[in-house]
Amino acid sequence: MKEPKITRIIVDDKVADQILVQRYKENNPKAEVIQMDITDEQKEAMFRQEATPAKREILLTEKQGHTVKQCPGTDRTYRCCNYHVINQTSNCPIDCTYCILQFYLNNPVTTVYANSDKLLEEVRDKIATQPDRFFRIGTGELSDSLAFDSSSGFSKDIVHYFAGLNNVLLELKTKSNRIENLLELDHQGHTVVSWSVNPQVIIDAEEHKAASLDERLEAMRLVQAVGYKIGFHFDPLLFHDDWKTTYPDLIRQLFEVVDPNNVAWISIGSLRFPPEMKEKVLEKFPKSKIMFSELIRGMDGKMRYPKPLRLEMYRTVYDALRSYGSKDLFIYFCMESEEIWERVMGWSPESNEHLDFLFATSLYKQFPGLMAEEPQRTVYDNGVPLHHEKADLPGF
Amino acid sequence: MKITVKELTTIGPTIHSSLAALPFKREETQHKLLMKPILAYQSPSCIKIVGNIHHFLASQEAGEPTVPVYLIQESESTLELLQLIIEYYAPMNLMDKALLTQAALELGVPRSMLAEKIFPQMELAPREKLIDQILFLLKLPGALQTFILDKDLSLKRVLIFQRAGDHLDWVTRFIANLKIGINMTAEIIQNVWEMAKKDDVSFKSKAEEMGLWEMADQEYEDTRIAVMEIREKINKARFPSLSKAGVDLSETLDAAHLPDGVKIKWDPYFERQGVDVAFHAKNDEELDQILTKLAASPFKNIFKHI
Repeated sequence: MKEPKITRIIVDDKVADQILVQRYKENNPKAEVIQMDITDEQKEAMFRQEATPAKREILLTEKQGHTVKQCPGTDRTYRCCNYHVINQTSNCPIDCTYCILQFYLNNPVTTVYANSDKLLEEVRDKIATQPDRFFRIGTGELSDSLAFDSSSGFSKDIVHYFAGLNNVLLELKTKSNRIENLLELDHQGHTVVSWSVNPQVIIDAEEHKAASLDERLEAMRLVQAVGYKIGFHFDPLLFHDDWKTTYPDLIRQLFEVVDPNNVAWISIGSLRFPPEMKEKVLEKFPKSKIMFSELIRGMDGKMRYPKPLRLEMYRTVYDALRSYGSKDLFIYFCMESEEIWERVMGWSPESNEHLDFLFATSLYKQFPGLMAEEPQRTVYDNGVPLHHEKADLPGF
Repeated sequence: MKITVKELTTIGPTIHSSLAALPFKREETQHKLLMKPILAYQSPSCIKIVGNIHHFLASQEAGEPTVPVYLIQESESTLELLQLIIEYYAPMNLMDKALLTQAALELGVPRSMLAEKIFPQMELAPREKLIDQILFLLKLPGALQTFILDKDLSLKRVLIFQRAGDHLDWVTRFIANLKIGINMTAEIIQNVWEMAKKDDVSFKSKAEEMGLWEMADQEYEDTRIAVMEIREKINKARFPSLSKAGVDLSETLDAAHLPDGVKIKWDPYFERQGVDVAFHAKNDEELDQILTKLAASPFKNIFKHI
């Protein structure tokens, strides 16, 4: 996968002396650099620009307010896992057809909050308020965690920082193979490098600038070799011809490279999107056919495959994971109903808090030494979000 | 801009061909138009009629030697002239806007200027992309153009007709014979278009495969029957897994031999788990029969399908 070419770097005066700014400049010597005191009106004007393939601007600015937030997830109609996100970077260069970010962030500006010290201190302070609870925090919600890492080197800062925190795992979620910076780091087992995965036929058709499956497999091999925990996200599963063979084949390939004992978690989810996104996808990606699938409106108002089809797809993937991987893998559904959990896995979490607790318990058992003490259910049942707001989108 | 009122001779002035098609609903508003003075423009070589040419022609035909006109003697730009014409014809319907857009292009107004300066005057979004979309209206069969105005459809709604490609006559017949409204029409076009794209086949062959093509030439006394048939055909094509689940459920229910008083309802397009079971029993004996059947294993198998 090629690093996205950055054409312009706009530096807010307030962060001009930050290390991230220096790295962006050094690693993109051909990019135009503009430094200014940026007003909110100027930012809004930047966000109103139309995205074009040739134009990618980085806005390095200061994050005000809270950084650590709840995963946007969905309402309580479907199960969520009480995951938290840090939105240090907003916007993604990978251009996946199905990605909602393209429609909320359909402009050429990638916002990077360069005051990373403050962001990381906020994580430390917030998780310290619930020391008996084990958190999972990721950076891959509003961007790909590693797509800009050759420019920003942010992984070096954040992996190092999380290595010193006791009750949290960092998840770097990616469709890239930009793992060079990770290989030399002392991560202390506190980072999960996870990949969103799909068969190559889907990568070709729908994940336009992502790393190929082979590139991702090679990246997995390398990070596994230096002791990182691995995660897989079969999300979104996409209905296509031959899906009944391509998904099991993909899973077989993954476990030829990755030892199931190193897998911290695996999520499964299927295509879902707000109805208004459909016409935008048809306009932006006229060759894509994913919007023509069998789709109904789910209980949360989003379009989804109908339940009989989802069940069939989930069972196929779940069975292949158990078969090629291991019976002990921690597999969960992202934004799915209790009924789906029950009918595919034979059980379901009692609540979102219960699912959060099950994550912690699984990690405790699988990775001795990661936690000082066995997780207690009451801690999770009584846990509160690190911040009451769900993740937001800049410019909206 | 300088405008004066003048009596103009009916012999001589040239018609401004680009604007002669305005307004679209000429016949219905003929009386009003005849009451309204003509709008003319003094070009360097002659006087051109730019508004209400129909009044001018009617006066010519009636043998009137002169007609009163608003004469634009000076105009700084074509843009200014067009803005005045928009005000003259206000309120413009969607077809008028399309006609004026075409006229503006013929008069050499650049697309970017048309979008930014003229469209807002016509209460259209200032986007260049809209130019081709609104010009599409002029390619529609007359019956569809009238349908658009009769139903006061928005441009966004009307653009669904683009997806019918070369088969707008088929759409026209569908609307006329089945007496369906725009929502049903849009649903048909959208579904046929999507299924055709999905399978890389033509719109027509997909409509034929779905059993919709021939429906356009059938007349229905009751539109509700037609709508039910259309929906059934669309759902069968759009939702193969749900259709299969429905068939499997029906077969299982048939095999369960439930008494007539038991009604099973499953809404496949809603995510709610399970089915609604309703029954009527007139006495203990019937109630026992029903409960026995509902407790038997053939009935319990229904949930595996849905």
